[in-house]
Order: sequence, then structure tokens, then C-alpha cells
Amino acid sequence: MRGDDDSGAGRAFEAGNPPRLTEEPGVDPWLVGLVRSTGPYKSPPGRKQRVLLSLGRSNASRRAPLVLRPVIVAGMLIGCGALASAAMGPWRGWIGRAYQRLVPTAASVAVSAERARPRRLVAGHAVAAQALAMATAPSESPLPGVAPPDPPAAGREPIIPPHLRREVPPSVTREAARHEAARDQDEDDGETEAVLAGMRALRVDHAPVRARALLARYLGRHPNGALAEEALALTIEAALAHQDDDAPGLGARYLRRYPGGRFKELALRAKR
Amino acid sequence: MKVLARARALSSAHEALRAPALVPPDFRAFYDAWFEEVARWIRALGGAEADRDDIVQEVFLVVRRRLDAFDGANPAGWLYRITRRQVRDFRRRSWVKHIFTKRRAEDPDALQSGAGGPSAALERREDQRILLAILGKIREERRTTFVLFEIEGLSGEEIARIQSVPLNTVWTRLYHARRDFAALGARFREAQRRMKGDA
Repeated sequence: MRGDDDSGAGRAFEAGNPPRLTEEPGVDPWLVGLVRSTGPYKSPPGRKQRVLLSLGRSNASRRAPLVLRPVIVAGMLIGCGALASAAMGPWRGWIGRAYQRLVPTAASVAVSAERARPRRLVAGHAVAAQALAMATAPSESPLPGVAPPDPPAAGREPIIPPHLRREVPPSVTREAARHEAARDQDEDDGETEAVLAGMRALRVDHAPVRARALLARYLGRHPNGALAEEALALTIEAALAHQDDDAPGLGARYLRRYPGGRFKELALRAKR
Repeated sequence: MKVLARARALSSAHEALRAPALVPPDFRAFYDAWFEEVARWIRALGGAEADRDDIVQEVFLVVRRRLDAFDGANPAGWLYRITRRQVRDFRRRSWVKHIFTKRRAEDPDALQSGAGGPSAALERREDQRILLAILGKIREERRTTFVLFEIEGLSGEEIARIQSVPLNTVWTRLYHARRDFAALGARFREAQRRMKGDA
């Protein structure tokens, strides 16, 4: 209403009290009739007493006390925030997956393969291993822009090794299984991340020395880890790529530990 | 049964007599002096007839709570500000309330007199309804000034005092309100004519 305050439109009225609309000549009689239809307000009889009576009854204000108000507001904010967070939590995952589906990159292919593991197996190792197996098998899925160090080995299927399959024991309750799965998943994320970093260093960055260091660190921490076999295979591959002298020793070590392993051919080639 | 009903009536009468005594005397004088004015402002500010009792009650609850802190200068302006805030709050609350319930059509005020017979009364009621509809489309400050000046018969100086604005602002608001009123009225009649033509 500042416009009204500053406007000079009311100059015609400034000389004094202007006449009422009902007394002004030249005004549409219909409008005058409308204004005349309602007279000055008179409250119905008894209203004054009625309101006074209700005022006497309501000694205290109906509003919440001042101390309570911030508590109520804070409670509502926390509740709404929790709801929004719960509702929006999965969105990030969905958006990320959709983006990766639209724009697949060398790194994201491996990451999405790792993230897309099913959770029916409690440990969750199986799918991480599958993702790695797919990534480590050069003949199966050569990553875009990556030159594999070795010629592809034909006829390899990403098979989940039996020792990685771990079914939920029937005695375990659903809640306990969920907790266990969550804990295992956290551990898995750390483990798979290290092996994936090694793989990326080898395949994407073509840095076999760094890859070996990363994989050696993983094998040192988790000698019997769920991805130990894959890590050892990747180490052999890095040693071959760098033409290290210890490649035959690594191949022999692999064959000793995993006589029927999936990367047997690679180990045999390294041993030769 | 008759005895019980009489006892109940007596008890409520006693309550009614007792209730004003709970109110501080200063407040009571204030209430007596300003009740009608507050009710009038509520109508000018666009408070619904159905809510008028509640709004008046809320206004005087605030007055009772803050009367000690009031410096005594321009009680009309002070009360008007409280009334304006309460009407605004009520409108907001009624908006929320009517999300889930059906909004009732705005009732015109009860007719002051039944002079002229039922048909005249009906016409007058219809005019009041149209007036309310048109006024509802005018901006708040302009509408309030218009109603206080044209319908309640207050002078420009009185309006300036209660609204705590310069007199020229009152005239400007009134000027714009009249212009809006005429334009909206013309539009309303045009729409009515078109509807009749279609029929």
C-alpha cells in the first residue's frame, strides 16, 4: 500500500472532507443502492454480554505457553526433516544408477557392477566377486578405452565360487539377518573398494606398480578375504604387465591355493 | 424435571453474573467503551460474520493481557492494530480449516429492519451479497477505508487516527477504493447482462 500512501491521486480530496458516495452527484445509482443496502454496524442484542461472559471463562490464553512453542516448533521440524530424509534417501541411489546407465564410464561400469549386487546372500561377497570376475576377465568385457595387457582368455564364465555362497541360517531371525547383512555390507564396501582401486590402477590407469601395491595391501590385510582370489589374479596380471620376475612365483602360489580356481589359466601362463 | 431445569437455569445465571466480576474493572471500562467499535472494524476488515464473536473475544483477550503495558495514547489506533492482526490470523486459520471442510458462503449481516415487506428485504439481502462480493475483491487497506467512510460514516480524521496514517493517505485510499468499486461493479453488471443474454 505504499503506492497509495505516496500517490497524488487523492489530490481532489485534499481540500476537505469529500462528500459520501451516496451524496455525490453523477455516481451510478446502482452502486449507490448497493452501498445504501448496508447500514452502520450494530451488534445484535446480547452479543456484548455473551462475549464478556466467554472472556470471563477463558482466563488463560488458548495459545501454548511461550516456553512450549519453540519445543513444538523444533519437534515438528525434526519430524518433518526425518520424514523428508527417509523419503529422499533412496533417490540419490536411483539418480546415480540412472546417470550411470545413461553415461557409462570406465570407472562407473565397474562401480555400478559392484553396486548392483543382490542382497539375498548374506555376506554379499558373491556379487562383488562376480563383478570383479566380469571385470578381471579380459575376454568378457573389455572396458572402453582400456588396452588389456594380455590376450583374452576364451570360455570363461563369471561363476560364483561355492565357498562364497553363504545361505541365511533358518534359525537366524529376520532382524538379526538384516543387521548382519548391513555389517557385512559395510565391511565388503571397504574390501571391494581396495580391490577395485587396484583393478582401476591396472586397467584404466595402466599403472601395474601402483596396482600391485594396492592389491598387496589388500592381501596383507585380508589374506583370506572374500576377494583374495581375485586380488591374487590381478596381482599376477600386474606382474605380467610389468614383466616382473616374481610372476611365475605368484602363479605357483595361486595354483597352490586355488587348484581349481577360475584364473587357473592365467596362473599357468605366469608360471611358464 | 421442572426443579432440575430451574436449578440449571439459576446456576448459569449465577455464572453469568459472576463472570464479569473476574474481569479487572479497568478492562471492563475499556471493553464497554470499545466493544462496538471493534465489532465495526472487524466487519470493515472483512472478518466473517460467523467468526465475529470469536474475533472480538480474541481481540479483548489480547487487550486484557497487554492493558498494563499500554501507554494510553491513541487507544483507537492500538485497538485497531490488534483487531487487524486478529482478523488476519482468523482468515489464515479459516483457510486451513476449509481445506478439509466445505466453505460456507459469506452471510450478509442480519437485516436491520424488515421495512418494505419480504420482497424488499430479499432485494436488500441480494444487494448486500453483491456488495460483499465486490468489496472482497478490493485490496484490504482500500476496502477498510471505503467501508469505514462510506458505510460506517466515519470522518477522514477519525479513520486517519485509528489507522495511524496521515489524512492524505486516507483520501488517496478512498479515491482508489471508489475507482476499484466502480470498475468491479461495472464488470459485475456486464457479466450479469451476458448471463441473461445467454439464458
